[in-house]
Amino acid sequence: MSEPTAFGIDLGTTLSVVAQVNQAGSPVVLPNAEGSPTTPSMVFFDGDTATVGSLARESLATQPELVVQLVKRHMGSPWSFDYKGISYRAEHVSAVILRKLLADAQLLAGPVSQAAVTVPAYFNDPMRIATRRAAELAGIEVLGLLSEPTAAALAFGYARRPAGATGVVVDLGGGTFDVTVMDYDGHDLAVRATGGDYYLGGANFDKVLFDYFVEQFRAAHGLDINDADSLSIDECTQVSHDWLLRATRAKHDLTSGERTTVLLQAAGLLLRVEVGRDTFLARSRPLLDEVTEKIIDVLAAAGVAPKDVNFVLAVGGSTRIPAVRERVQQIFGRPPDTSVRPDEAVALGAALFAAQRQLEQGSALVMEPAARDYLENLTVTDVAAHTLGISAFDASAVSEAGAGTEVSGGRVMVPLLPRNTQLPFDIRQTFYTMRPGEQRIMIPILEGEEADPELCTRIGQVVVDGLPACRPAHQEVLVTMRLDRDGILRVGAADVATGVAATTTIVHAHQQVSADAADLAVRALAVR
Amino acid sequence: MPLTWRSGPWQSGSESEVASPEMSHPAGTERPGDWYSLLRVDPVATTEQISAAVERLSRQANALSITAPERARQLRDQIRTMKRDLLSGAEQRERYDHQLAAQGMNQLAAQGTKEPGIQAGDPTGMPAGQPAPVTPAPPTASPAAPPAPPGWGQPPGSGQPAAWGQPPGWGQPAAWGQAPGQAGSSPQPLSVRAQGLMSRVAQFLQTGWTCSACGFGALPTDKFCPKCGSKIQSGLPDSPASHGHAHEASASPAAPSPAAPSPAAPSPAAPSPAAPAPAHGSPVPSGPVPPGPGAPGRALGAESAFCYKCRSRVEPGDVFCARCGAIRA
Repeated sequence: MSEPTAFGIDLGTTLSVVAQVNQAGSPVVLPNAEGSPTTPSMVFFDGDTATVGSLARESLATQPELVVQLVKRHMGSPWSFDYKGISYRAEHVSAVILRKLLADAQLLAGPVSQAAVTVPAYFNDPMRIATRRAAELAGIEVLGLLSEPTAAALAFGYARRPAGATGVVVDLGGGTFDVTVMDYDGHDLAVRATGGDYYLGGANFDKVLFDYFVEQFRAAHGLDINDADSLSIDECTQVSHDWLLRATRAKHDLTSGERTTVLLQAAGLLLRVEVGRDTFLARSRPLLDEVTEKIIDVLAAAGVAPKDVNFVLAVGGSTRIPAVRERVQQIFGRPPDTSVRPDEAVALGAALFAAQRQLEQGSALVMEPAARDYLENLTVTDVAAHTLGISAFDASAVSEAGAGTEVSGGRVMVPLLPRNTQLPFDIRQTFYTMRPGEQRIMIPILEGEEADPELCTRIGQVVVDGLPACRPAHQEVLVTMRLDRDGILRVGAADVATGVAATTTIVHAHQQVSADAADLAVRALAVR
Repeated sequence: MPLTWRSGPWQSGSESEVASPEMSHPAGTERPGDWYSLLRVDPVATTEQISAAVERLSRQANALSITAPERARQLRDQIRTMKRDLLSGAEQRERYDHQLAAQGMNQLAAQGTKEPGIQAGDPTGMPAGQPAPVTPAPPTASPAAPPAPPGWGQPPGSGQPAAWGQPPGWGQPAAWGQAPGQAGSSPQPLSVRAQGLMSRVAQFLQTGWTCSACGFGALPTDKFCPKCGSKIQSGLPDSPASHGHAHEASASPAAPSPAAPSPAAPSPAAPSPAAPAPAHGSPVPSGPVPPGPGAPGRALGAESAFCYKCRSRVEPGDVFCARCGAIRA
């Protein structure tokens, strides 16, 4: 039987990476079966086989409708990919990707049963739950979910061991963007504030170039490939994905060079387009402004001025874009630290985190004593990325309308767990029933920064049922909310008078289907 | 005033129950309304075939959401509507088929009053870029069109003889899309038999296929004649080996078919002088076809159902399953 090993998985939007902590106590990336340290997070469905990685990416040019990409953006949502009568949700597709990652890792490192998995810091509760479920479907026992910037900081701190330093991690990946401000002091890594956008990443920059191509082609040939009158759905799908691949390559070219040339083909027409870095920069400005805005927001939330920041880590492949680095430099007055490889930092940190959790559980990990000592004493404190609360009637609105009367408006979002609260966190708060004779109390759980519940995201509800019929109004209901260190929320409610209670772990309605056809299909698919 | 499907007397259910094609098919979408052509399936496709085609379209919408989000959104709207129209039960699909047939006939009528033939890509429901089958000219435009035998093509209750292959009301453009016998009069409910006939005639006008044994208008995908049960050698007109549903084509459109005992009998789709000459293997009938006993109208007035054997859809009035040839139970 092989010795226990700590594995970390960076399940990225466009690229995924697996790392392990070796016996010297150093985190190292495990290359995939094709020899690459990164595996494209794309799945090509072909009969009973799911092909993951670069082969799937190649299929984008010929059969784009059978390739699933950027699936992480759909985590925790009702999105699905329908194939052979089965609706695969984002967690199912992610499970397929994870199966490939595991299979490849096992070629080098032996059986993988436990791993830490990273998620964007800005992921909300349903998204985290979907990620955990994906890992479980792939047969992984999840040691913990770690925010990607925190993982990157962990990898950076493990190599540098900064003391009394405040750092900022700017993580611009393929599909998501996170900014995290953290304090690093020896063995303690504490996140102060985090923010981001799960619809901002390298894919947006690809789209900028793609849109430029479409414009140029229209100007040259009068053909808009997105127009229903120009190309059929089949042609449009195929041509646009071919162009998108070319846009990605052009973006990479423009990272190292000043100009690149792209050959575009559609409907038997050809066009050679020259793109300069200046054009790319000009067209990417709105995205860069968004990046700047988020960084400034998070710095403000953390109460940190740019000049007080000791190090700025740039992680995620898109931080290689020169314009992004320039923006970061403009904000902080210093170039970002890229000593940890942007594509690998997160996975390396995840492996360290897994090792820390395994040591915490008493696992007999074999590693250098110094490394073991460091990891055993390491503490990582994360924060809640979003404000969590419940929807309740505003007391003033209730009193104006009169007790026990029907109030249609007056609902407010009552924040119980403010954004950037350090985890784990517990809170209890008492609420009161409004009407006499209430036998069922339904408490909607919200996520968001607005006072108006309509503007917040309803992520679940707790229902206290079976209360006696003859109860007067204004009965006490105790609501408890707990966000654990992995960012998973548990909410409870109890009727104080009767002791009837209910608890829930937040799972969206579409996630509640257990062991459905897609679960079985994911396990049955041959993955390569 | 032309009768639309919305106010058609055969329309079951209230207006609120059925969305209009205008509502269902946003402006600028591809071939609004004809889901079959958008899905690239036959109008007689099974639910499984339609589901598979919808699934494929749904995947394309997924793929397009990255590169062409607006087009993907339109496509998703269409998919939602087509699922409702085609995959939410036999009754709903039947209702949609009737709407489509009525729509198609309205369009054909508009064409028929202006042009002798229908060109590929015209609003016959064929997707753009896909070659449309050669369609015979509307009989009214054809001087060679013989008079109709009594009962054939006539709307119930109409005492007026109609030309071969004419849907009810043919020759009266203002009444296109109306229920039979309705021109210039108050609307009357259309019988199930007439509905089936109209649907079949509309399909026939788009395809121009007829059974070589009995002259019944059929579809290119039919493997058996739904009227007489004769086996069709090959279903598709493009196939070089195809004998098709129709008689073998000859150079002369007037040449009698071996299966046509009466040269004087009217053809349901005699090509007009303006229509393209039929190529070898073309489904365009080359000679007159006898209506046979009972005429091409439906012998059975039963409601649309599914074949007990292969579960294919059996149109109202079909005696045999067009797919497997089983006699209707």
